[in-house]
Amino acid sequence: MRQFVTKILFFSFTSIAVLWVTLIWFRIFVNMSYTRNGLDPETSTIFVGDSHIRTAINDGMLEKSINIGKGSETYYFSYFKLKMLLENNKKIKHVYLGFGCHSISDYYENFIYGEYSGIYAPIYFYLLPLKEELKTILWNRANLMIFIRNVIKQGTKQSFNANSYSLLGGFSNPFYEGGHIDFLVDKRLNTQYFTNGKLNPFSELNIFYLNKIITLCETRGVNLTLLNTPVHEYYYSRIPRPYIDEINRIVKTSNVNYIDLSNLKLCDSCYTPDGDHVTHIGAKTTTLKLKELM
Amino acid sequence: MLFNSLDFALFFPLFFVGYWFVVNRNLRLQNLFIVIASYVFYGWWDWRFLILIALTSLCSWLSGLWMGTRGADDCPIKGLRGHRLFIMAANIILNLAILGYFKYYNFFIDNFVEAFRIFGLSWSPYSLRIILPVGISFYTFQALSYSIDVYRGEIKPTKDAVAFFAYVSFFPQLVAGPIERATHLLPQFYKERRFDYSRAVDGMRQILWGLFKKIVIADNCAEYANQIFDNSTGMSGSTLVLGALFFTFQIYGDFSGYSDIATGTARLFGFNLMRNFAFPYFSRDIAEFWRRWHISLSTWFRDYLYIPLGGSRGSLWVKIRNIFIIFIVSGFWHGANWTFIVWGALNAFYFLPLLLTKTNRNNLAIISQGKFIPTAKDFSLMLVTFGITVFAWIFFRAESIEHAINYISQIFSPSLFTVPKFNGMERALITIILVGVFTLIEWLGREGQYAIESLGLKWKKSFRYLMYYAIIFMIFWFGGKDQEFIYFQF
Repeated sequence: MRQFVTKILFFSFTSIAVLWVTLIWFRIFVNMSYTRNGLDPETSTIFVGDSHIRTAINDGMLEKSINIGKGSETYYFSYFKLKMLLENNKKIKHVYLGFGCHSISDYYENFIYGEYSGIYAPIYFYLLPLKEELKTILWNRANLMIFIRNVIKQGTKQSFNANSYSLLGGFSNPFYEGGHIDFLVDKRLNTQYFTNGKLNPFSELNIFYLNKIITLCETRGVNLTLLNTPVHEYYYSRIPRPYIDEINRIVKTSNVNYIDLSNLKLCDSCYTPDGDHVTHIGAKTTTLKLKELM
Repeated sequence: MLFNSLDFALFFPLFFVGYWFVVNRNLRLQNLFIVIASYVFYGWWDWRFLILIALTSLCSWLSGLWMGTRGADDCPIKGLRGHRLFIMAANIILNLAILGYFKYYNFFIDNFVEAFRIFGLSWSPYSLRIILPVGISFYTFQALSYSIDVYRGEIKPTKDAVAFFAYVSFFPQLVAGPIERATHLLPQFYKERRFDYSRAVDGMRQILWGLFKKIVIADNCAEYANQIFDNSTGMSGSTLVLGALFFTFQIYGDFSGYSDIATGTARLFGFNLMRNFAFPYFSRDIAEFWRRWHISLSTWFRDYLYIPLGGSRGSLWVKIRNIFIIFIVSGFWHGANWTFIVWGALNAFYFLPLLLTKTNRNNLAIISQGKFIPTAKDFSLMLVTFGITVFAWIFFRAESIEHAINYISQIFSPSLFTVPKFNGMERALITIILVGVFTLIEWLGREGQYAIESLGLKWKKSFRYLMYYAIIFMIFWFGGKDQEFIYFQF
């Protein structure tokens, strides 16, 4: 019995030890890579957010600006990403943060812990302070193996990719043809705002981190603007009222700049089939409109 | 609680320590510990399921006791004295009623409604909105085997309620088998169990291989099989063939992986479970396949249904009838859907020619024993058997008969000769390579109880350890997204 237990413990401890050493090693290297590979030193404006920002703002059309939006990025992760970027890039003076009704739905917490977090949360893992790292591990315990595996994969990617942070994202819009489709819009709305026919509650976690982003920008003297990108009117008219009220309340109470393009009238082909994003042409129009307002 | 979950990773060492270090001196206490742990394991899904398993266990245990007192004056219920058949039948009916209610009620209701509709009648009966209790078919059949064996006099009824409850709920095989026989497993609860190092090591190796099958092979194949089956309309014939192949390996990796984990776990605690899989995809005919696939269920139906019906004795008509009954019932056991029934019937069609030509017991030995490369004849027979098995799995996996027929008709189109194409095809290549390596290892280890039973045993210790680490690494690195074991739903 003793021999058996000793061997099992040996196998378990060596495997876990190798895992920890790998994680620590990556943590050091990835953080070094973050400091080493900063943004273009001339950048003074950044666009942060999820796929809405990523697809809508063509930073090639704007001076000294960079779009670092990344698909399904929640405020929880945006906060730590922004914190790191502001620390390493002192010239950033303007931050445009994606802000829409869907961003405050608790469905978005699925990307922190839940159905999709095994893929998305590891991207930001090394950005997090130790306490938050342990929290995300705990949150993702149901999919722990996939989570840890992706954390290691991200470690490999982010340590050795010298040209850019893989977590930065950037302007990308693969939609060249568009036109909304009613049932896809309905499906999208249903995913974002409803679970089993019931309205989703607001994400307290993301609202908390949205407020932290506001405070972070304030304390660093950075000008923060919340930016709501265009959605199709079919989509817009079906956003649950409590969500519209809530984002209005947040804007009012936080006293930050707010540019609301969600109701901007664009041609139908400017929207993706889910009505929630803009296509390549839509991005051009949106960026031009924003340029006027900036 | 899933074997491949963090919950089980915590439960398992706790149980191990409690079993071997705390309650090891008292057999009854050890059995009681198994019952408690098994109920925790099962109740982890939903504590309400415990009521059902407790009811099944209690009724089967009492029925055994009463049957045992047949003719004796001390039978607690006067009217039951001397009525062994009645008691057994009552227990079977009660257990099948529970199973039927939870598993088949909605199926029958839906079909009756459909039949009424055809005749222009409308009927809106009450439909159940309940979750199917995990593994209900497995423990029900295990409990039934006890009742029938007591009735037949093959086993003495047990007075030890704790041992019996442990037999029905034994957690390693509770939710997905092997479906144990009372004659095999129950006596093991009466004997003192001692820790055996070599058996424990062997058990751990089998668990490791089971995890590999489940997490690397089944979970990865599931991702692509689901994608192709769920979006089959408009896909090319070649893609659909690939989808069917993914499912073929998914179901094997999933179910035989579970059986390996169950058997290995039981060995760690001094129990021997029956073998459930014996490399079925290397079979040379469908009869051999059924001797190697889900052995515990096939033999259950053979002993408690096929042979009592007359088996292969009697007229040609009786033989054909019996074959169809056993395969269709076996299909229906898997789930309340016509697809399973058709799958069963299809296997009966495959089997029938072998029975009629009396060639169903031609291939009893291991294929190409002692050889690396099979003979051309063996290889071609194996390929044909594998092909028709894959074809039958399409019905098993499809959502409906219509879905299966559409799927098959799309396969047989000119697009069958094009390159398969679906989302993530590049990533799927890794899975295809893994399946190839896995098949090779299974082929090399086909003479053992499980593929890696003797792999590396004669190697240097360091190489053997390296092999274990390599398997652990592969499970970690190539593991697919968690999927529940398919057979839990049965």
